[in-house]
Amino acid sequence: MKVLRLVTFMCVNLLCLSELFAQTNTINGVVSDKDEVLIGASIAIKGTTTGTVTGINGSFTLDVPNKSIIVVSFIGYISKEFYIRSDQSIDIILEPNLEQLNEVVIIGYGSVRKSDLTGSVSSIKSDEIMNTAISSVDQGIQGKAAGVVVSMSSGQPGAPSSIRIRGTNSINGNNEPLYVIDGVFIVPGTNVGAVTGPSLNPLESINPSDIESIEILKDASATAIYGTRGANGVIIVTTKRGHAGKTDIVVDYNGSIQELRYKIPLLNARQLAELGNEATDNAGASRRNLYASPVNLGQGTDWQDQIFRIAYMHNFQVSARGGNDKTSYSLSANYFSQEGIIINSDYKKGNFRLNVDQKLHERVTLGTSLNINRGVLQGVVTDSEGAIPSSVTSWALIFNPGLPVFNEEGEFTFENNTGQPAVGNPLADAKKTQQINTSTRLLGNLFLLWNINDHFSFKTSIGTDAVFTNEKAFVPNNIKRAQANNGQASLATQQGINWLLENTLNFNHKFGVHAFQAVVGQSMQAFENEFLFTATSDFDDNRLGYNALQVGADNTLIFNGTSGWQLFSYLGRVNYILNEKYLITTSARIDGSSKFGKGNRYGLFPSFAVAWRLKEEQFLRDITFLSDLKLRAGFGKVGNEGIPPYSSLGLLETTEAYFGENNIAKGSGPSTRQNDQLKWETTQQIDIGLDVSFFKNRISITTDIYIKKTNDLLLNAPVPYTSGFSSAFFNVGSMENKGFEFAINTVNTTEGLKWNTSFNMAFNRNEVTNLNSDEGIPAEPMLGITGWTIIRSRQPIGTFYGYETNGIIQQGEEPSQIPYFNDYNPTFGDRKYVDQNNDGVLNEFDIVKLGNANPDFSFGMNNTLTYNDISVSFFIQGVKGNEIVNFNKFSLESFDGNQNNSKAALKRWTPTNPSNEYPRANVSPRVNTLSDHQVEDGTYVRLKDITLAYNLARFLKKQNVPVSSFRIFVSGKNLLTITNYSGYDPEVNRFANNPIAFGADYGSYPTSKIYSIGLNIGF
Amino acid sequence: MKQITTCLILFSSSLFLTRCEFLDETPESVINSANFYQTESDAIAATNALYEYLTVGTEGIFERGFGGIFFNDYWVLKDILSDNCYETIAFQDYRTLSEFAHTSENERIELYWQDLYKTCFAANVVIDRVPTIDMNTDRRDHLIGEARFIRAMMYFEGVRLFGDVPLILNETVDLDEAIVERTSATEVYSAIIADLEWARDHLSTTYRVGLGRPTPPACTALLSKVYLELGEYQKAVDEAKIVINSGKYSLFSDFKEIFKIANSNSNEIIYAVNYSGTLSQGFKPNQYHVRLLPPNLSKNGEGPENAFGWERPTQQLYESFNPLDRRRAITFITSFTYSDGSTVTFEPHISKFWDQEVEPRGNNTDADVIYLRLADIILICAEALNEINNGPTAEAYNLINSIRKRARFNGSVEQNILPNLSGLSYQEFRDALLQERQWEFVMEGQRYHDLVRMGQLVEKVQNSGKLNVNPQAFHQKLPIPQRERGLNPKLTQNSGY
Repeated sequence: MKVLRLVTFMCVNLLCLSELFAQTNTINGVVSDKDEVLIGASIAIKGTTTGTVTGINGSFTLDVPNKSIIVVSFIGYISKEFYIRSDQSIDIILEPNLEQLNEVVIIGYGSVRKSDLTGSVSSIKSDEIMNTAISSVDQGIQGKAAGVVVSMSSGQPGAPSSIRIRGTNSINGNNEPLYVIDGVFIVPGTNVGAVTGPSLNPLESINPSDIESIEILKDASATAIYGTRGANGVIIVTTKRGHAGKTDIVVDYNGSIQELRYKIPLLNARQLAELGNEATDNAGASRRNLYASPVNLGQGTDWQDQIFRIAYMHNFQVSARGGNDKTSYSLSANYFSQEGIIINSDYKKGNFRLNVDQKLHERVTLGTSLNINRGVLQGVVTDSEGAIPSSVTSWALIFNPGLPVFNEEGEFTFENNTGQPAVGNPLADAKKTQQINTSTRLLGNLFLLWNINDHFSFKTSIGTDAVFTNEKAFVPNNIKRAQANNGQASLATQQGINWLLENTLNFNHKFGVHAFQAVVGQSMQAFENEFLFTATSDFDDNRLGYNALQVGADNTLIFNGTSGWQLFSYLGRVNYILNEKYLITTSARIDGSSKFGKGNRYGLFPSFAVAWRLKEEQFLRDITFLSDLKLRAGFGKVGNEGIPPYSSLGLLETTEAYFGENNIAKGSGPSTRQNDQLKWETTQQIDIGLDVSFFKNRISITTDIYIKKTNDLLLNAPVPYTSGFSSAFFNVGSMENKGFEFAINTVNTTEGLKWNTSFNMAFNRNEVTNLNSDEGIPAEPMLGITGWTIIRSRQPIGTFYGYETNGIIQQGEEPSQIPYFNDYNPTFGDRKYVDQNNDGVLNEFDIVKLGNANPDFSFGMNNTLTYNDISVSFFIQGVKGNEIVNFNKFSLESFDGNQNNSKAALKRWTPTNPSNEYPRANVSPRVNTLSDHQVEDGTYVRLKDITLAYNLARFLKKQNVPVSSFRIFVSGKNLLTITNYSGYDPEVNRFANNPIAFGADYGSYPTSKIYSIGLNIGF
Repeated sequence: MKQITTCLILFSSSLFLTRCEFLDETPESVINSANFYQTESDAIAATNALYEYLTVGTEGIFERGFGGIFFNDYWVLKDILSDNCYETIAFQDYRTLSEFAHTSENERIELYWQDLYKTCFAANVVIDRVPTIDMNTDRRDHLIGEARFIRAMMYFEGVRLFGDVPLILNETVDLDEAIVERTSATEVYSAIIADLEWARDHLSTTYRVGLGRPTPPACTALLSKVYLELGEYQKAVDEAKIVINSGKYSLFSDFKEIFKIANSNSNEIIYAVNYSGTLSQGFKPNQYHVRLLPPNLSKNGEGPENAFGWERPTQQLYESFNPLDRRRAITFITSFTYSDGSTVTFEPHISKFWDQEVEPRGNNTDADVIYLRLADIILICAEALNEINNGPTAEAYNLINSIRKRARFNGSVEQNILPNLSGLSYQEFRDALLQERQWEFVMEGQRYHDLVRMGQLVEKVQNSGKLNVNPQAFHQKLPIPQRERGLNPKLTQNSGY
């Protein structure tokens, strides 16, 4: 009601404007917010360039024509307008702008006011990611920006996550966004292969506390300035820099306890024995000795309890920021250590950063951003299944609970004794297998900024991202994993050096109603990588392990190589703003990439975007409840060059054959097909967006709809063998992503208890529109199942295929009449599948779509409640409508007595328990058949984070304690999850980085619940 | 403005830092074919590559297609697709071949096709590119001769197994050149003959001789086999006689000697694909012992190691031998005695390739895969003579009887079995030849072709006692792999599939 009255008042006020007289009035006053005066606030006569700024005490004097309007504005505050018709003295109180429309947003090669954005950009500020305990940037992004899906491929500490912005664009190209950290493009981490399991997350090399802001450029009009690397979106990370004045020193500590979020209920020793006996009885075979007396076996060993633990995490960091009018600096150090929830898996890292800006001259600044990081990841074997389970997580699930951890001699029980597959003691494996991944990363740049005059500035910058990694692995000869080769050791080193040289010239000019901002530049980048891998086996002595490969009796295998790529580019962009209302941005980049065929190296990537700030129009000015309204539309063309170097060349491989028994014949045979036509993948995107806010920005909404079409997909496509090759890189096929994004921020209450909410939600639909072949591209087989997911034309990527189940064969049915696979004779209690084509037999023609790994939508919601010095925030995040192929179910529900099973086995079919869901105990079931039974709904809603913080600074200041801030917090992560998924965690994506095979769960490292306590003191 | 000009000059001068070469790719740890095929050593390296494709194939050890055709399938498929052997491996793709239930989706057939064509491609590269290399002409022609022999081998496999197949005799550059129709078998045979004749005339007798590399007589021997298959019997006889009368080759007096490691590439053996377990550190030897020797005998460091006995002889094959036939004792193993005197007995397994004295653990063998041996050429000659004369000639009897004579020799004496043949009609002689070839060449890549050539595939397999077999006339050819038809719509399918 109050609002309505205000609106009416304002309308009336504005209507009076029609009377105009030419006369001059002198006005003066003071501009302030509620607490203090504002120095440098601008007071301008509307529609002109005439105006003034407030002085040291916030006061101003200005002569204005009679009956004109003055606009009072200050960055971070809502501008106010006053109608002047006489000399007067006015004290103006500006209110802080809750939506921060005037906040500066970093875009590629420049920055703009948020209100001047024409593209789709999400901005995350430091306080949004720093309130809780995280160790890397990607963890801070999850759920915070609409359309940005972060998925964890492993719960292993230090492991990378995978980020998809607006869906999957590419099949064999890269799908990860481009990361630009302080102007340096960073390269993703890879393992040479000495250790199995995840590589180190490159984003771990940045200390989250150093981050000033993260900008996520989503649409092509924003990313086109990044050319061939803009197709997957761009994440720009800007770190904090020093400032003149008082030195700020901040000391931070947080400590956490982590535990397994969910333990899979398994059979105990007695239940497994009963199952095993029933399986052999059903087959008319003799019972296994080890299951002779189930009742005596009791509970047995809980192997999950053996490998999982309560794990600790510590994060210390200290930073200092300060400077004088010539020099400013920001210095920080960070030490982080995290135990994994699986025994013997840990991650430690140390980080130093120094950002310095030195004014060489009034107009010339020399600066540097330097980051040095060292990370050490000690892993256990997870994620390594091939034909048989081989990760400790799988082993803990299937190992016989009837076996003790230690045998009578006090040594680790060696292996499972229930049957095939023969697997080892998970605890012994976790403790004794060593897999260490270390990485030293130097990330930095040096720049010179020359402000030539008020309009032109020139910047030259040279940067590097240099990564030195070392992988060491050893499997001692006394555990199952090394049984075949009597111990094995492998070592690998790798160095990747990425350097970048950029020169940009900026132009900034405003005259009258025209505002121009432009940049032109040139960029060149090169990457060189080299690696050395060496391995041996047959160790009689375990003591030296990977530190002395010469101990291994077997021949030492050595493999090394080097590769590199280069990019050369020109770029340019013009922003033009007319009358503060009409915004136009156009940009282009010409990129040359070494990876493509000779005639196709250069590409032009243009964009064009317009925005209209409707709120500035006369007809909306009166509608005061509407604080802002902007319509945006943009189009751009971006590329993807994310394929390995040399993909366009015809490469040879080294061959070896033997003439007789003494004569090695080394040779060189064709290994890849030359393709001079190979070029980048092109993504064209149209984005239409609306930014609207109401009630003095208390409610602000951003929505976008987009259509992305990717053509000339870089595809390692199968070719006829008659060509001499199995596959070759081509530009074939196309893919489409379209979606809708919605973000809303609200200030719910401001008096006393302050309550802010932000909510975002995104829908994306993917479709492979054309593949040029009906064959489709199947994923690598898993557990003997081929074609569990296939990329096909007119289907979304990540579609799962298999059989539709049809209950269980019950007594009274005639098993021989039931359509079945030719290689198996079904009986009562066996699972039935739908014979889709009614031909009386089950075969590949009965395979149907079982689901899809893409969520229907994803969302995140953050609520912050602040009352005086106490604040509580809770962050809820989730996805809806995706499916997961739970490959663990094949072993967990084998019902054959060969391995331990989940508690589902207790519901198995028996003549007296005619289950229609779970089959009978069967000692030799048919080969693995993927059906809708293993494809599960991956929907979840999760209380990702809840944090309670208490800021003691005000209290301490009163006690004359010299602190500027003093914040303590407790937080919990993943405390509550609502999901129907039966595996460890619905946030699983075993092959997250492989678009041909996402949506699988098999032997993955589970995620954990985390309880943290933290302290942040500033001086 | 001056400053801006300065800046622009600075800016544009930075562009000159880049020369065109900045974007050139220069791989340093792999060879770019654009910089290859230029020297004699390149020519040798390109030719040598063909031998890896024959032996371990074109794919890596962890890929499904690991193994060239001689690694497994040259000798496995021909005997499981017959009355000789049955399959016990769990993989469907072998099982269905053994049961004559294979389809165009069969992975083994697809991978066989893959190896044939990838090897042909590599051979075409040699044949096209080596002639432009500046080097000694004789050595150059020799290398091309090796490639043409190998290409002929591949197409001979292709045409016998699939009938009409795409015939590609040049390095394909555009993909369209590889998307072609099937060429008639007649044309394919002409190309095979042209290759073999050229190779015969150009292969050196002093440079890169033998040990897995073809020789002029190997070309002649293969020509006789090709002509027999084509039904050009006189030419088959002519070529066979050149080999038989060359004096270069002689039958081992004892059947056992053929498979001795020490006798590799000698006497009777005209051409063998060479493997070395010793030099390859264990992961590139052929799979004879892994696949054929009886499983679960490894104990206390004795007995065949890593053996699975996947392909086993049919009972009928085993029983068809005269118990005293030397070939039965050498071809099969039915018991094993450990050093402590304990003995285990088991169903017959094929052990002819196992040189037990030299390689007691079996696995990781140096054994080669014999492609052409004199006994084969002798029987080819006899078969062709019988066809030409519509009945056996004295010469034909002599030829077949020389093989029977050796089978009578038990290592010390000639036994009173397998009498010399005489007085047979055309058809009786033909049947006797087929029988002799069966006994002589178990698991040597012959049986399926012999049955097809003699028109007895269906009948023999039906009466083999193999379970669940359903041979049909159309099984005389294999199906064109579905994958290839999917990618090359011009390929028709063989009837019946």
